Amino acid sequence: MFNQIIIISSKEVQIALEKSLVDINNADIKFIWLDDHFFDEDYDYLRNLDNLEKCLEIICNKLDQLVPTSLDKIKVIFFSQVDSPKLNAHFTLDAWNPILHFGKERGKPNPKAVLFSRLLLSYPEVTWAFLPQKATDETVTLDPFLSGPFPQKNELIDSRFFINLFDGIGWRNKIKEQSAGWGGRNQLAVSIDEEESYAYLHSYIAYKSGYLALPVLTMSELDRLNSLYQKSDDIALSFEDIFLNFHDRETIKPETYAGQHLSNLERRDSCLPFLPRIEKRIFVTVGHHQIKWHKNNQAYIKKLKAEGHKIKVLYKPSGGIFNILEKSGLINEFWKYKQRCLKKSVESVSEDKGKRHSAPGRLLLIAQKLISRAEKIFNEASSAKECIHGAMLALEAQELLGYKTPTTCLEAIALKHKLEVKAECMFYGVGYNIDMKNRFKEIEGEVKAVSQWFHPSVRKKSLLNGQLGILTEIVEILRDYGQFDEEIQCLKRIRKLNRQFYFLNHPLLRIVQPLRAYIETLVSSFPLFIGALFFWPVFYGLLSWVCRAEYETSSNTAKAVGWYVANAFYSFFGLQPSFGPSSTSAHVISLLIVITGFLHLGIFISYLYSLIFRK
Amino acid sequence: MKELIEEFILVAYSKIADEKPPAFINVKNTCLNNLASIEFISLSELSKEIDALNKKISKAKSLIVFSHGPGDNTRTQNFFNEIKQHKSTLYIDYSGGDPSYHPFWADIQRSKNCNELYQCLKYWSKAFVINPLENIKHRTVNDLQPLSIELGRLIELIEKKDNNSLINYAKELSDMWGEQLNGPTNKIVRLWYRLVGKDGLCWGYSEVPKMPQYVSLPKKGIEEFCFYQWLKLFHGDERLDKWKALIDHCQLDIGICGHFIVKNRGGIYETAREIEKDIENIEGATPELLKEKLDKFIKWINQLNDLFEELVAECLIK
Repeated sequence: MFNQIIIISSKEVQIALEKSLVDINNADIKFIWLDDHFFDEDYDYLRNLDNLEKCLEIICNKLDQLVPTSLDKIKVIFFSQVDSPKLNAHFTLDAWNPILHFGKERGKPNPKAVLFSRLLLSYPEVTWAFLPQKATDETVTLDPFLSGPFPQKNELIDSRFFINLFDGIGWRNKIKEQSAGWGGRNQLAVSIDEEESYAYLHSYIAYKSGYLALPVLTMSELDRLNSLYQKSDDIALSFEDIFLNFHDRETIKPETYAGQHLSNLERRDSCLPFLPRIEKRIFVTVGHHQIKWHKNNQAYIKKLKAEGHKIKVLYKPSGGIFNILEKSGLINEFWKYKQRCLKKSVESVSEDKGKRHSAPGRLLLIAQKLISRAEKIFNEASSAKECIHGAMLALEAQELLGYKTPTTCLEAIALKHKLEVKAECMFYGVGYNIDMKNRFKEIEGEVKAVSQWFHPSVRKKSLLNGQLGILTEIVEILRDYGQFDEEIQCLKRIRKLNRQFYFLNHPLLRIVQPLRAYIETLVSSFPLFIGALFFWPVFYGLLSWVCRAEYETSSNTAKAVGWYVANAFYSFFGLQPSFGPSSTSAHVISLLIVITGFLHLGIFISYLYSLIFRK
Repeated sequence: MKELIEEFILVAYSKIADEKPPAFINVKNTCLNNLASIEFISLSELSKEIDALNKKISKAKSLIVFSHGPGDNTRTQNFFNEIKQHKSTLYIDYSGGDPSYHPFWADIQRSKNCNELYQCLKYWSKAFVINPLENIKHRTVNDLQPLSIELGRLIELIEKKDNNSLINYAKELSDMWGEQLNGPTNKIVRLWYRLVGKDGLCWGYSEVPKMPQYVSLPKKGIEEFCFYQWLKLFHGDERLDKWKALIDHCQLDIGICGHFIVKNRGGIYETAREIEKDIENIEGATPELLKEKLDKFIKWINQLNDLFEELVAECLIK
């Protein structure tokens, strides 16, 4: 599972390991050694934060040399004992605070975990492993610990760890709560799928909705999850592929799983008792009915629903991130979580009382590192999975900044949306139509939260400008991938924002704003345009009738309502009055009808042009 | 002539961290008994009270200050810098991340009168120094990790019955242990000195190894101090059971005058010597017997870590 294993240790441990691992041919193992004083917990050494900075630099240099998209296949083992930040002891949480700093003058040693927490936040995709304070039983916890402070050789090269990118173990959540005041993810979601791209996409969606998420890609991971959670209700949500076909299914516990068809949901649940304990289950399927137990599955799903489980069936291919959120019934949860985060940001602005605090410097550094890696991924990504990886880095950067440090935060938000859209476009499992309305809503909410930190005089402009910048870049991606409908929706939105921006800069011209808004609305909606073609002649016809407009005609029917309406229709579509106006009111109304007709002809041509442009 | 009091104890607490004086003094935030005057003052208000505090300090023979950091006000920081210059001042800069932080404040809140508060603050003035235990534990684990890997590799080669590799590896190890003095016996000796201090050993044993030059002992300021004395002072004899179990595991016993003796032959030191001898003369050693000794040593290392952990947990409780 891991492409490379990096071991960070003292020089003496490194020498011993190099000699001990000499006959390991199937793993690429690299070493980084740090000063002995670091591992010795030498207080004199730790008092000076510069020493920790040097260690950080050495490790970052090594990791930055690797291709960003390969980092999720790297395991880094830190040969240092540490307590889990989830211990909740006040001193443990304090130690895992990346912004903690004891100045030299205070003579207090800085905890080693300050370095670990910075590494975990800077490289969320890397699988980090540490040595526990005491020997542990691996079936007790998800924590990324080796079995004890004196690990055996085989443990170093095994791959029993889960993918860390979506913080399934919850360590980053704890660290973020401590330092950035963010966090708030208390429930775990699992995404069980042998297809990496689906497992990543669903994990990302769960993470966005406020869950910690764990992609499960192998039978061994599924089995370990089962032994960890078969007696607990800690997993709150699952995305489960119905037709599971893991590559290692034959090799893991054949006495339990051999001959068991995991696509038979009832059997799956009896083999893996942690699954029926999950309250919200989303079954993902291509929907073919040729399997023997299709009817059984349907009956079993009914039974689960009757027992109070929240069950949804999601058919592949799905339609992008927001479509999946909608179809899986998570959209409300997503918005609630989002609102909570946005509210927190607004509250922190009011608590700040105008001091204009930005995010702490060290968090900013971490965020910049994440953003730069996400940018590289955006430019080089060749698959949807890689784009989701990049989007996740941008999301982490955004959360670390907590909407503060507005410019960098906007950069993170823009990257996140670009990578999400690119993932949707690149993903063969995503259907043709992608939901853009919810994306616009999310962008607006996020940019609004960021703009709270700008000076009130430029706040409104930055809100519009920020959205425009992001959407313009998204349009390019949609154009590159031929997502025409979504591109049109984006362009409509851009036009609307541009209009608002224009009138914000030219307040005296606001008088014509409704007219421009009207034109843009009709250009972007053909049904509304057709409605307008009927509305205006009828309206002018009624107006002429009410005003008793006089026309040069001898007909007796001239005074009937129908005559006035018909006359308005002729004038509207003919762009000239069918009878000469003979009163002032008739002159004015005829003029208005011709101008309105002319305007609508222009709109119609624009619409036709956009249709031709599409082809 | 000024009327001197024995001690002035100042607790400069942080309101932001939700710290507060004990309930019984919450009106004046001060109390006085026949030994000391105790005053609680929040860090944010301290700068306004500096002149009054200086007057009170000048009347005291000695001063103990607990402060949640140096404060973010230059005046406050200067005040602390000045009082630190006096020889009779004990300045304790605590923070929320200190392992003793929570027990310290819980203890303060439990105090019901000035005498209890005085006893509590006196205790913590000694106990709130740097805890050398974590330091010794990490040094020991770090020291023994390479050895555990090396011995694990030897076991692996014995189990594989790969004699050629075993002989080559053992020769390599033997040379390295000899040159760098990092074989099992040297590591045990280093651990002993770490546990009992540089003057703590008083062998009854005929072959007493001298303290290796590179044993780094815990430090308090620039002065090395004895871990055993620290434990005794801050945790009392009655709490030393875990400590006794630890030193017993390391083949040590408490002797007279605070010195330690190595217990008779048959302990882990002996096993370490036998391993070294077998490795030196690997061709003559019986692999099965060597494996037994190696297994025993690795088990001993793991148990040592557990005993350290138990002692760490014990020392967090007052």
